[in-house]
Amino acid sequence: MTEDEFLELVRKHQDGIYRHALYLLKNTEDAKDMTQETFIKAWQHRKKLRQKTVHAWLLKCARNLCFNLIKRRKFQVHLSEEDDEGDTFGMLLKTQENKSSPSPEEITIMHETKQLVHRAIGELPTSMRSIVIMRELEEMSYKEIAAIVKQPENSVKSTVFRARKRLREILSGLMET
Amino acid sequence: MTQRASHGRTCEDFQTLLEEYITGELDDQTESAITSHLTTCDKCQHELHLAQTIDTVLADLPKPTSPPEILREVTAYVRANPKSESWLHRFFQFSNVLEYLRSPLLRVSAMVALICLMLLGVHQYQRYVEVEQAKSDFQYAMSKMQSAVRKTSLAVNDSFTSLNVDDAPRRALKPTKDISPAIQQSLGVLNILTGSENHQESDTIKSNNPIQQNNQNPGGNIQ
Repeated sequence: MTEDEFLELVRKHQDGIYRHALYLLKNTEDAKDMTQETFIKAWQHRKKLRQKTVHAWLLKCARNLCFNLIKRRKFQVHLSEEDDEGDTFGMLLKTQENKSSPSPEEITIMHETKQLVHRAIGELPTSMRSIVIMRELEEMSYKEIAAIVKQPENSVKSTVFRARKRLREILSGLMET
Repeated sequence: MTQRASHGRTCEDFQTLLEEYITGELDDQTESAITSHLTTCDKCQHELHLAQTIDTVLADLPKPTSPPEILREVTAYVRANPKSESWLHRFFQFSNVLEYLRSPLLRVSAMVALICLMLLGVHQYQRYVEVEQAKSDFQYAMSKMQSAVRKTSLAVNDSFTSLNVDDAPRRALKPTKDISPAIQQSLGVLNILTGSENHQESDTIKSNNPIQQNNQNPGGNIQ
Protein backbone atom coordinates (compact mmCIF):
# COMPACT_ATOMS: atom_id res chain seq x y z
CA MET A 1 0.00 0.00 0.00
CA THR A 2 1.49 3.33 -1.05
CA GLU A 3 1.37 6.51 1.00
CA ASP A 4 -1.24 8.06 -1.25
CA GLU A 5 -3.45 4.98 -1.11
CA PHE A 6 -3.18 4.95 2.64
CA LEU A 7 -4.03 8.66 2.97
CA GLU A 8 -7.05 8.10 0.75
CA LEU A 9 -8.11 5.36 3.14
CA VAL A 10 -7.71 7.78 6.07
CA ARG A 11 -9.92 10.35 4.34
CA LYS A 12 -12.57 7.73 3.72
CA HIS A 13 -12.75 6.27 7.23
CA GLN A 14 -11.67 9.04 9.58
CA ASP A 15 -15.18 10.39 10.26
CA GLY A 16 -16.57 6.98 11.21
CA ILE A 17 -13.64 6.14 13.48
CA TYR A 18 -13.71 9.58 15.09
CA ARG A 19 -17.47 9.33 15.75
CA HIS A 20 -17.09 5.91 17.33
CA ALA A 21 -14.27 7.14 19.56
CA LEU A 22 -16.22 10.27 20.47
CA TYR A 23 -19.31 8.35 21.54
CA LEU A 24 -17.20 5.95 23.57
CA LEU A 25 -14.87 8.45 25.21
CA LYS A 26 -17.29 11.39 25.40
CA ASN A 27 -14.44 13.81 24.87
CA THR A 28 -13.34 15.44 21.61
CA GLU A 29 -9.63 15.64 22.42
CA ASP A 30 -9.40 11.99 23.45
CA ALA A 31 -11.45 10.96 20.41
CA LYS A 32 -9.05 12.86 18.15
CA ASP A 33 -6.00 11.25 19.77
CA MET A 34 -7.46 7.76 19.54
CA THR A 35 -8.41 8.27 15.88
CA GLN A 36 -4.87 9.38 15.06
CA GLU A 37 -3.43 6.46 16.96
CA THR A 38 -5.72 4.06 15.11
CA PHE A 39 -4.47 5.27 11.73
CA ILE A 40 -0.86 5.26 12.87
CA LYS A 41 -1.27 1.62 13.93
CA ALA A 42 -2.92 0.91 10.58
CA TRP A 43 0.10 2.41 8.80
CA GLN A 44 2.45 0.30 10.92
CA HIS A 45 0.47 -2.84 10.05
CA ARG A 46 -0.38 -1.85 6.49
CA LYS A 47 0.95 -5.14 5.12
CA LYS A 48 -1.82 -7.00 6.96
CA LEU A 49 -4.64 -4.71 5.79
CA ARG A 50 -7.07 -6.00 3.19
CA GLN A 51 -9.39 -3.76 1.22
CA LYS A 52 -12.52 -5.72 2.15
CA THR A 53 -11.89 -5.88 5.88
CA VAL A 54 -10.11 -2.61 6.47
CA HIS A 55 -13.16 -0.86 7.97
CA ALA A 56 -13.72 -3.70 10.45
CA TRP A 57 -9.99 -3.70 11.28
CA LEU A 58 -9.97 0.04 11.94
CA LEU A 59 -13.11 -0.10 14.09
CA LYS A 60 -11.77 -3.01 16.08
CA CYS A 61 -8.48 -1.20 16.63
CA ALA A 62 -10.18 2.06 17.63
CA ARG A 63 -12.52 0.19 19.95
CA ASN A 64 -9.63 -1.57 21.70
CA LEU A 65 -7.67 1.65 22.05
CA CYS A 66 -10.69 3.41 23.53
CA PHE A 67 -11.40 0.56 25.97
CA ASN A 68 -7.76 0.59 27.08
CA LEU A 69 -7.90 4.33 27.63
CA ILE A 70 -11.12 4.03 29.62
CA LYS A 71 -9.59 1.28 31.73
CA ARG A 72 -6.46 3.29 32.33
CA ARG A 73 -8.24 6.42 33.35
CA LYS A 74 -11.18 4.74 35.04
CA PHE A 75 -13.32 6.95 32.89
CA GLN A 76 -16.27 7.96 35.00
CA VAL A 77 -17.12 11.41 33.68
CA HIS A 78 -20.81 11.93 33.19
CA LEU A 79 -22.25 13.65 30.18
CA SER A 80 -23.85 16.34 32.29
CA GLU A 81 -20.44 17.44 33.53
CA GLU A 82 -19.08 17.54 30.02
CA ASP A 83 -22.08 19.48 28.73
CA ASP A 84 -21.21 22.20 31.21
CA GLU A 85 -17.83 22.49 29.53
CA GLY A 86 -19.54 22.92 26.16
CA ASP A 87 -17.93 19.70 24.96
CA THR A 88 -19.05 16.64 23.00
CA PHE A 89 -22.76 15.95 23.10
CA GLY A 90 -23.82 19.47 23.94
CA MET A 91 -21.83 20.70 20.99
CA LEU A 92 -23.17 17.94 18.77
CA LEU A 93 -26.74 18.87 19.60
CA LYS A 94 -26.11 22.48 18.63
CA THR A 95 -24.88 21.29 15.26
CA GLN A 96 -28.08 19.33 14.80
CA GLU A 97 -30.36 22.23 15.76
CA ASN A 98 -28.88 24.46 13.11
CA LYS A 99 -30.02 22.06 10.44
CA SER A 100 -33.74 22.07 11.31
CA SER A 101 -36.19 24.96 11.55
CA PRO A 102 -39.14 24.09 13.84
CA SER A 103 -40.82 26.50 16.26
CA PRO A 104 -38.88 27.66 19.34
CA GLU A 105 -41.13 25.62 21.65
CA GLU A 106 -40.60 22.48 19.60
CA ILE A 107 -36.88 23.12 19.56
CA THR A 108 -36.84 23.34 23.34
CA ILE A 109 -38.79 20.08 23.82
CA MET A 110 -36.75 18.31 21.14
CA HIS A 111 -33.53 19.59 22.61
CA GLU A 112 -34.44 18.47 26.13
CA THR A 113 -35.57 15.03 24.99
CA LYS A 114 -32.49 14.51 22.88
CA GLN A 115 -30.28 15.69 25.68
CA LEU A 116 -31.88 13.16 28.01
CA VAL A 117 -31.50 10.33 25.48
CA HIS A 118 -27.88 11.30 24.88
CA ARG A 119 -27.28 11.29 28.61
CA ALA A 120 -28.88 7.86 28.75
CA ILE A 121 -26.61 6.63 25.93
CA GLY A 122 -23.63 7.94 27.87
CA GLU A 123 -24.70 5.91 30.89
CA LEU A 124 -24.75 2.60 29.02
CA PRO A 125 -21.88 0.20 29.71
CA THR A 126 -19.00 0.86 27.30
CA SER A 127 -19.15 -2.38 25.35
CA MET A 128 -22.93 -2.12 24.99
CA ARG A 129 -22.61 1.51 23.88
CA SER A 130 -20.06 0.52 21.27
CA ILE A 131 -22.47 -2.03 19.77
CA VAL A 132 -25.36 0.46 19.81
CA ILE A 133 -23.21 3.05 18.02
CA MET A 134 -22.17 0.57 15.34
CA ARG A 135 -25.77 -0.49 14.82
CA GLU A 136 -27.62 2.82 15.08
CA LEU A 137 -25.05 5.39 14.00
CA GLU A 138 -22.95 3.50 11.47
CA GLU A 139 -25.93 1.38 10.37
CA MET A 140 -23.84 -1.78 10.31
CA SER A 141 -25.45 -5.20 10.01
CA TYR A 142 -25.54 -7.61 12.95
CA LYS A 143 -23.17 -9.86 11.03
CA GLU A 144 -20.58 -7.08 10.57
CA ILE A 145 -20.78 -6.13 14.24
CA ALA A 146 -20.52 -9.78 15.30
CA ALA A 147 -17.26 -10.10 13.33
CA ILE A 148 -15.79 -7.06 15.08
CA VAL A 149 -16.85 -7.85 18.65
CA LYS A 150 -16.21 -11.59 18.19
CA GLN A 151 -19.65 -12.60 19.41
CA PRO A 152 -22.43 -14.62 17.78
CA GLU A 153 -24.86 -12.65 15.65
CA ASN A 154 -27.80 -13.47 17.94
CA SER A 155 -25.86 -12.27 20.93
CA VAL A 156 -25.22 -8.92 19.22
CA LYS A 157 -28.90 -8.61 18.35
CA SER A 158 -29.88 -9.38 21.91
CA THR A 159 -27.37 -6.76 23.17
CA VAL A 160 -28.96 -4.11 20.93
CA PHE A 161 -32.43 -4.84 22.32
CA ARG A 162 -31.15 -4.96 25.88
CA ALA A 163 -29.47 -1.60 25.29
CA ARG A 164 -32.74 -0.10 24.05
CA LYS A 165 -34.55 -1.41 27.11
CA ARG A 166 -31.82 -0.05 29.34
CA LEU A 167 -32.09 3.32 27.60
CA ARG A 168 -35.83 3.32 28.24
CA GLU A 169 -35.26 2.62 31.92
CA ILE A 170 -32.61 5.34 32.21
CA LEU A 171 -34.75 7.82 30.28
CA SER A 172 -37.73 7.03 32.47
CA GLY A 173 -35.61 7.66 35.58
CA LEU A 174 -34.19 10.90 34.18
CA MET A 175 -37.66 12.19 33.30
CA GLU A 176 -38.91 11.52 36.80
CA THR A 177 -36.06 13.57 38.26
CA MET B 1 -47.34 -2.74 41.23
CA THR B 2 -47.57 -5.25 38.40
CA GLN B 3 -50.87 -5.12 36.61
CA ARG B 4 -52.44 -8.36 35.39
CA ALA B 5 -53.24 -8.07 31.71
CA SER B 6 -54.68 -9.97 28.81
CA HIS B 7 -53.51 -13.31 27.38
CA GLY B 8 -52.12 -14.32 30.77
CA ARG B 9 -49.30 -11.78 30.50
CA THR B 10 -48.42 -8.94 32.84
CA CYS B 11 -47.57 -5.37 31.87
CA GLU B 12 -43.93 -6.21 32.61
CA ASP B 13 -44.07 -9.04 30.06
CA PHE B 14 -45.45 -6.70 27.43
CA GLN B 15 -42.95 -3.96 28.23
CA THR B 16 -39.99 -6.26 27.66
CA LEU B 17 -41.26 -6.82 24.12
CA LEU B 18 -41.80 -3.17 23.20
CA GLU B 19 -38.48 -2.77 21.36
CA GLU B 20 -39.16 -5.80 19.19
CA TYR B 21 -42.75 -4.51 18.75
CA ILE B 22 -41.47 -1.18 17.39
CA THR B 23 -38.99 -2.77 15.00
CA GLY B 24 -41.63 -5.31 13.86
CA GLU B 25 -39.68 -8.40 14.87
CA LEU B 26 -42.50 -10.19 16.71
CA ASP B 27 -44.80 -12.88 15.42
CA ASP B 28 -48.35 -11.82 14.47
CA GLN B 29 -50.02 -13.33 17.54
CA THR B 30 -47.76 -11.55 20.05
CA GLU B 31 -47.94 -8.32 18.09
CA SER B 32 -51.76 -8.29 18.09
CA ALA B 33 -51.78 -9.16 21.81
CA ILE B 34 -49.57 -6.15 22.55
CA THR B 35 -51.66 -3.88 20.30
CA SER B 36 -54.89 -4.83 22.08
CA HIS B 37 -53.24 -4.46 25.50
CA LEU B 38 -51.89 -1.01 24.64
CA THR B 39 -55.44 0.29 23.96
CA THR B 40 -56.36 -0.38 27.58
CA CYS B 41 -53.14 0.27 29.53
CA ASP B 42 -51.89 3.85 30.03
CA LYS B 43 -48.66 2.74 31.72
CA CYS B 44 -47.65 0.55 28.79
CA GLN B 45 -48.63 3.33 26.38
CA HIS B 46 -46.25 5.63 28.23
CA GLU B 47 -43.47 3.02 27.96
CA LEU B 48 -44.20 2.62 24.24
CA HIS B 49 -43.93 6.38 23.83
CA LEU B 50 -40.51 6.32 25.55
CA ALA B 51 -39.35 3.43 23.35
CA GLN B 52 -40.51 5.30 20.23
CA THR B 53 -38.72 8.47 21.37
CA ILE B 54 -35.51 6.50 21.85
CA ASP B 55 -35.97 4.90 18.45
CA THR B 56 -36.39 8.33 16.84
CA VAL B 57 -33.39 9.85 18.61
CA LEU B 58 -31.21 6.83 17.82
CA ALA B 59 -32.15 7.09 14.17
CA ASP B 60 -31.20 10.75 14.21
CA LEU B 61 -28.01 10.70 16.25
CA PRO B 62 -25.60 13.53 15.50
CA LYS B 63 -22.86 12.52 13.07
CA PRO B 64 -19.97 14.86 13.77
CA THR B 65 -17.13 15.09 11.27
CA SER B 66 -13.54 14.61 12.29
CA PRO B 67 -11.33 17.66 12.85
CA PRO B 68 -8.83 18.41 10.06
CA GLU B 69 -5.88 17.97 12.43
CA ILE B 70 -6.31 14.21 12.28
CA LEU B 71 -5.54 13.94 8.57
CA ARG B 72 -2.78 16.53 8.88
CA GLU B 73 -1.02 14.72 11.72
CA VAL B 74 -1.47 11.25 10.24
CA THR B 75 -0.07 12.54 6.93
CA ALA B 76 2.94 14.00 8.76
CA TYR B 77 3.55 10.67 10.48
CA VAL B 78 3.23 8.68 7.26
CA ARG B 79 5.67 10.99 5.46
CA ALA B 80 8.13 10.80 8.35
CA ASN B 81 7.91 6.99 8.60
CA PRO B 82 7.75 5.67 5.06
CA LYS B 83 9.36 2.32 5.87
CA SER B 84 8.01 -0.53 7.94
CA GLU B 85 9.30 -0.61 11.47
CA SER B 86 12.32 -2.78 12.17
CA TRP B 87 12.13 -5.86 14.39
CA LEU B 88 14.26 -3.97 16.93
CA HIS B 89 11.68 -1.22 17.21
CA ARG B 90 8.90 -3.80 17.58
CA PHE B 91 10.91 -5.54 20.30
CA PHE B 92 11.11 -2.33 22.30
CA GLN B 93 7.42 -1.78 21.74
CA PHE B 94 6.94 -5.10 23.53
CA SER B 95 7.99 -3.34 26.72
CA ASN B 96 4.62 -1.58 26.55
CA VAL B 97 3.11 -4.91 27.58
CA LEU B 98 4.40 -4.19 31.06
CA GLU B 99 1.91 -1.35 31.24
CA TYR B 100 -0.84 -3.94 31.34
CA LEU B 101 0.67 -5.45 34.48
CA ARG B 102 -0.63 -2.65 36.61
CA SER B 103 -3.02 -4.80 38.57
CA PRO B 104 -1.37 -6.36 41.68
CA LEU B 105 -3.11 -9.67 40.93
CA LEU B 106 -1.60 -9.74 37.44
CA ARG B 107 1.84 -8.89 38.83
CA VAL B 108 1.68 -11.70 41.39
CA SER B 109 0.43 -14.14 38.72
CA ALA B 110 3.26 -13.16 36.38
CA MET B 111 5.82 -13.57 39.17
CA VAL B 112 4.45 -16.99 40.17
CA ALA B 113 4.49 -18.10 36.52
CA LEU B 114 8.12 -16.97 36.20
CA ILE B 115 9.19 -18.82 39.37
CA CYS B 116 7.37 -21.98 38.21
CA LEU B 117 9.19 -21.74 34.87
CA MET B 118 12.56 -21.43 36.62
CA LEU B 119 11.85 -24.39 38.93
CA LEU B 120 10.80 -26.49 35.96
CA GLY B 121 14.09 -25.61 34.23
CA VAL B 122 16.15 -26.62 37.28
CA HIS B 123 14.20 -29.87 37.62
CA GLN B 124 14.72 -30.72 33.96
CA TYR B 125 18.47 -30.06 34.30
CA GLN B 126 18.72 -32.36 37.33
CA ARG B 127 16.92 -35.10 35.42
CA TYR B 128 19.37 -34.68 32.55
CA VAL B 129 22.38 -35.03 34.88
CA GLU B 130 20.88 -38.17 36.47
CA VAL B 131 20.28 -39.80 33.09
CA GLU B 132 23.83 -39.05 31.97
CA GLN B 133 25.17 -40.54 35.22
CA ALA B 134 23.08 -43.69 34.77
CA LYS B 135 24.37 -44.09 31.21
CA SER B 136 27.96 -43.87 32.38
CA ASP B 137 27.36 -46.43 35.19
CA PHE B 138 25.70 -48.82 32.77
CA GLN B 139 28.62 -48.65 30.35
CA TYR B 140 31.02 -49.39 33.18
CA ALA B 141 28.97 -52.40 34.27
CA MET B 142 28.81 -53.72 30.71
CA SER B 143 32.58 -53.50 30.29
CA LYS B 144 33.06 -55.40 33.54
CA MET B 145 30.66 -58.10 32.44
CA GLN B 146 32.42 -58.50 29.12
CA SER B 147 35.72 -58.85 30.92
CA ALA B 148 34.27 -61.48 33.25
CA VAL B 149 32.84 -63.49 30.37
CA ARG B 150 36.17 -63.40 28.57
CA LYS B 151 38.07 -64.65 31.61
CA THR B 152 35.52 -67.41 32.21
CA SER B 153 35.80 -68.65 28.65
CA LEU B 154 39.58 -68.71 28.93
CA ALA B 155 39.40 -70.75 32.10
CA VAL B 156 36.97 -73.24 30.56
CA ASN B 157 39.13 -73.59 27.47
CA ASP B 158 42.18 -74.21 29.59
CA SER B 159 40.37 -76.83 31.61
CA PHE B 160 39.17 -78.87 28.69
CA THR B 161 42.15 -78.56 26.39
CA SER B 162 44.74 -79.44 29.02
CA LEU B 163 46.06 -82.96 28.85
CA ASN B 164 47.15 -82.87 32.45
CA VAL B 165 43.97 -83.89 34.27
CA ASP B 166 45.35 -83.26 37.75
CA ASP B 167 46.42 -79.73 36.91
CA ALA B 168 43.20 -78.69 35.19
CA PRO B 169 41.02 -78.06 38.24
CA ARG B 170 43.72 -75.93 39.80
CA ARG B 171 44.05 -73.73 36.72
CA ALA B 172 40.30 -73.55 36.26
CA LEU B 173 39.80 -72.48 39.83
CA LYS B 174 42.37 -69.71 39.73
CA PRO B 175 40.67 -67.48 37.14
CA THR B 176 37.25 -68.28 38.64
CA LYS B 177 38.50 -66.96 41.93
CA ASP B 178 39.77 -63.84 40.19
CA ILE B 179 36.63 -63.06 38.18
CA SER B 180 33.99 -63.63 40.84
CA PRO B 181 34.35 -60.09 42.37
CA ALA B 182 34.12 -58.56 38.88
CA ILE B 183 30.92 -60.46 38.10
CA GLN B 184 29.47 -59.56 41.46
CA GLN B 185 30.38 -55.91 40.93
CA SER B 186 28.78 -55.85 37.49
CA LEU B 187 25.60 -57.41 38.79
CA GLY B 188 25.60 -54.99 41.69
CA VAL B 189 25.86 -51.96 39.40
CA LEU B 190 23.12 -53.33 37.17
CA ASN B 191 20.89 -53.78 40.18
CA ILE B 192 21.60 -50.23 41.28
CA LEU B 193 20.59 -48.96 37.86
CA THR B 194 17.26 -50.70 38.15
CA GLY B 195 17.15 -50.17 41.90
CA SER B 196 14.80 -47.10 41.73
CA GLU B 197 11.94 -49.56 41.36
CA ASN B 198 13.17 -51.97 43.97
CA HIS B 199 15.40 -50.37 46.57
CA GLN B 200 15.37 -53.29 48.95
CA GLU B 201 16.76 -55.68 46.41
CA SER B 202 19.43 -53.20 45.46
CA ASP B 203 20.40 -52.69 49.08
CA THR B 204 20.76 -56.43 49.60
CA ILE B 205 23.08 -56.74 46.64
CA LYS B 206 25.11 -53.77 47.71
CA SER B 207 25.59 -55.23 51.14
CA ASN B 208 26.91 -58.42 49.53
CA ASN B 209 29.17 -56.54 47.15
CA PRO B 210 32.63 -56.13 48.66
CA ILE B 211 33.87 -53.89 45.86
CA GLN B 212 31.07 -51.38 46.26
CA GLN B 213 31.56 -51.37 49.97
CA ASN B 214 35.16 -50.29 49.31
CA ASN B 215 33.93 -47.44 47.04
CA GLN B 216 35.72 -48.80 44.03
CA ASN B 217 33.07 -47.82 41.49
CA PRO B 218 34.71 -45.31 39.09
CA GLY B 219 31.40 -44.66 37.41
CA GLY B 220 30.23 -42.56 40.36
CA ASN B 221 27.37 -42.92 42.79
CA ILE B 222 23.95 -42.36 41.25
CA GLN B 223 21.91 -42.46 44.40
